[in-house]
Amino acid sequence: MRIRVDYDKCMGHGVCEALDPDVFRIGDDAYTHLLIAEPDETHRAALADAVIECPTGALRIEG
Amino acid sequence: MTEASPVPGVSESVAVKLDPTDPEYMRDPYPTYARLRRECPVAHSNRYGGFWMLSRYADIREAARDPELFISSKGVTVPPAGNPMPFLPIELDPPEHTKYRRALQTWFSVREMDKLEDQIREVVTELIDAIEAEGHADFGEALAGPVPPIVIALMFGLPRGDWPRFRHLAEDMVAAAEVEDLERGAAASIELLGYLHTEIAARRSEPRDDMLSRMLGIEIDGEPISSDAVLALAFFLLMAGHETTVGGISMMLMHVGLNPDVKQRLVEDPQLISKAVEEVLRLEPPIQNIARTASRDVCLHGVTIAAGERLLLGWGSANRDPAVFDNVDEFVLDRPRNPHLAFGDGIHRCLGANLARLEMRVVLEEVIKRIPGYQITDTNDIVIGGYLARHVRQLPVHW
Repeated sequence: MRIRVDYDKCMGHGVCEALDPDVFRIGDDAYTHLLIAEPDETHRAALADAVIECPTGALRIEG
Repeated sequence: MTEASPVPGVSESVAVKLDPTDPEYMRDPYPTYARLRRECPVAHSNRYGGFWMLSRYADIREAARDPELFISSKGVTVPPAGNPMPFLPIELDPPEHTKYRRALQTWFSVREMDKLEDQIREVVTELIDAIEAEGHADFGEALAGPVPPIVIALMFGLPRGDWPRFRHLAEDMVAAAEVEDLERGAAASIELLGYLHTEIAARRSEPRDDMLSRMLGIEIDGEPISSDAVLALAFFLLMAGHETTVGGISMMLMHVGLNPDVKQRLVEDPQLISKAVEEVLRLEPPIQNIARTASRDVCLHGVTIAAGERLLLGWGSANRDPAVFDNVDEFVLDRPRNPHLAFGDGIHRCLGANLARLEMRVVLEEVIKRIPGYQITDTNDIVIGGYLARHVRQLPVHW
């Protein structure tokens, strides 16, 4: 699956990073960055939570 | 609720209970929230000049995520906290808010906070050293009260010994606001501003490696921020950086003390401590609600909130909404998910969430390691206070 980050919405709150630090990392630019381009199924539950809980609604899953 | 403006579905008794200064409500607001969620999801109170309150998780989340409709620049507390300058950045709307938030965000990242863990543990260790042999203590006074202001002093680069002074001033300002004593509130806030002004001035001439010095270096649109903005920012980060976490730590030590089964599991498996921290944040968010102002008329559940009217987003109620959580009033360590709103939601979500979590975790780890047998001496002696920043003022324990 792929994660899409809407960089107009991302404010770097880091909720995604707390939920799955293997996939997300807040950079020095205060935006989230993907550490894995296409995370495997083991990440799905955490990523689904990240999509729901992202406080600025910046994430979505494709596939 | 007044006779003059009845809201559909609200019984008189619910409305009367929505007075935050009522001591019973202060001690235990949760039964009131439960009724509001069921009977009156958009409630009105005439206290503090009138305000609305949302109590359901879904409504609160949606409102928090609509900063254009529900703005923050008219103040985020009811009653006003008595801050002489706006709280930065929480009392800004986009686009200004976004600029400040970007400048500050990385200061409080998980990795930045991790660097503080050893220092925080040292602080906690010293405080426990001082009481361990006594066999009893007031955890409010001995641990929850001192840890957050000592840590924020460390981060700001303030003399460690100053913490009782600014904690007292911050407490006094908030307590005065709650009883609408403007004079006393002004006296406390002016003294606190004066104190910070002096510390900032010292760093303007001689920058140090601390957060106050870094605030002087913030640039927005390529320009350094004004002296007033630096002071307003320092003022808010100092207040928000400790008042709330005093609440978080004290509520955590109370709830773990009230739930011996939970405590036993934490002793057996300290890995569960992070989950306990989240569950306490769900059960007892120190900031029970945050205010917004409607920027235009809006209709919610058949109730019209007019442009300019204030409404509270009830995080404390959202966190016990059975539409989202099971066994809402119980301390459940094993929640598969815990999407509580203790840190708020939307663009203004708590900047210091990682710091608060870290302090709470370290305190609980050290207490569980060194004083695992602590017990609340008499639940009648527990004193809960604070409407704008809920906390346990007095928590007598023995071991």
